[in-house]
Amino acid sequence: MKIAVISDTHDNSSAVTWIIKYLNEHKITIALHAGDIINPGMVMRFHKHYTGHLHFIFGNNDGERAGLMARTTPLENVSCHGDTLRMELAGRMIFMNHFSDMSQNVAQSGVFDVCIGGHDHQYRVIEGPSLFINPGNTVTKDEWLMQDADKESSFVLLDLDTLETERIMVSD
Amino acid sequence: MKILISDFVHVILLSRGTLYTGDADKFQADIHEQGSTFWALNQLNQPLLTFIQELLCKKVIFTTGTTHQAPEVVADVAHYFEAVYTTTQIGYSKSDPKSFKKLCLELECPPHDCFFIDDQFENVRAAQVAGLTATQYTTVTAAQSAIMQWYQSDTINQL
Repeated sequence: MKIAVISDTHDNSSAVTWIIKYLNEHKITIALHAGDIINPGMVMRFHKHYTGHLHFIFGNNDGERAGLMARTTPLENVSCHGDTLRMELAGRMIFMNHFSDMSQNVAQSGVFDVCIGGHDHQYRVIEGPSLFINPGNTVTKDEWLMQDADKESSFVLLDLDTLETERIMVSD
Repeated sequence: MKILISDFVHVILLSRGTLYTGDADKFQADIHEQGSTFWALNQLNQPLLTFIQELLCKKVIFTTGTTHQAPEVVADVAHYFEAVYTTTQIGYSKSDPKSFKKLCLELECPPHDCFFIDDQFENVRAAQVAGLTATQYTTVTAAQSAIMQWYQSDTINQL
């Protein structure tokens, strides 16, 4: 079973649209978003157009938490897990927190099979006691980007059976 | 506000060996048929109740059956829990994530501020899908550990 790992989409609507279409086309039925969605309307795009289920947590830039919660709690295909997601998927224990520093530390414990983080926008997959994934970002591109990591947009497909990952570059 | 949501039968009310589904009427009939008593066949999970009583959060029951209405336990349920919600009221089975979404709306509490404990894995999974923190009841010690981890999670979440 493959799932999508997404983070730091930062209101880039064209990238989110691209990702949703990709996930639908490739029949990826579960997507985990590690936060910094920004606009609650972005989650509604998943609700209306994604044929799978979106699980998301808050990032440090998700200021309108009340709006996100109010909009998503009644939705059948979107679940908000607050600041931290801890859940079992296909027999794998998953941990997700927006801050990669924290998630990488949790990964060292080996308590979870997979730990996911974002925040620093830097794609990386680290094998260890737990598999750590930072899927990168989809920050809107412009000539004044603050960090090199923002020059590439990506998310990750994770095979929960094999724990193999594939970085998907987003065309936005 | 944090809310602890607990299943009733096999978590709060433990069987002394006879398994049943949680239907109070059927269970009362079984007791009568066996010439037994409610407490001969059941016991309250007193260690778990004592533990959660100390937690400064709202506590409610979410149950499929009607055993919580049995006269032997009504007073205990009212003592430890502020409310009882049934799947009949909510309109969905506990194995359906929609039941937890709706329960959270009823409780006016975000799913991520709720903790759910149940002995059935499919119910726990449905709660997790809905965004709650949830654990499957196996032993009192394991339940206490999972509840405490959730209860104390504010510090880590505020970083």
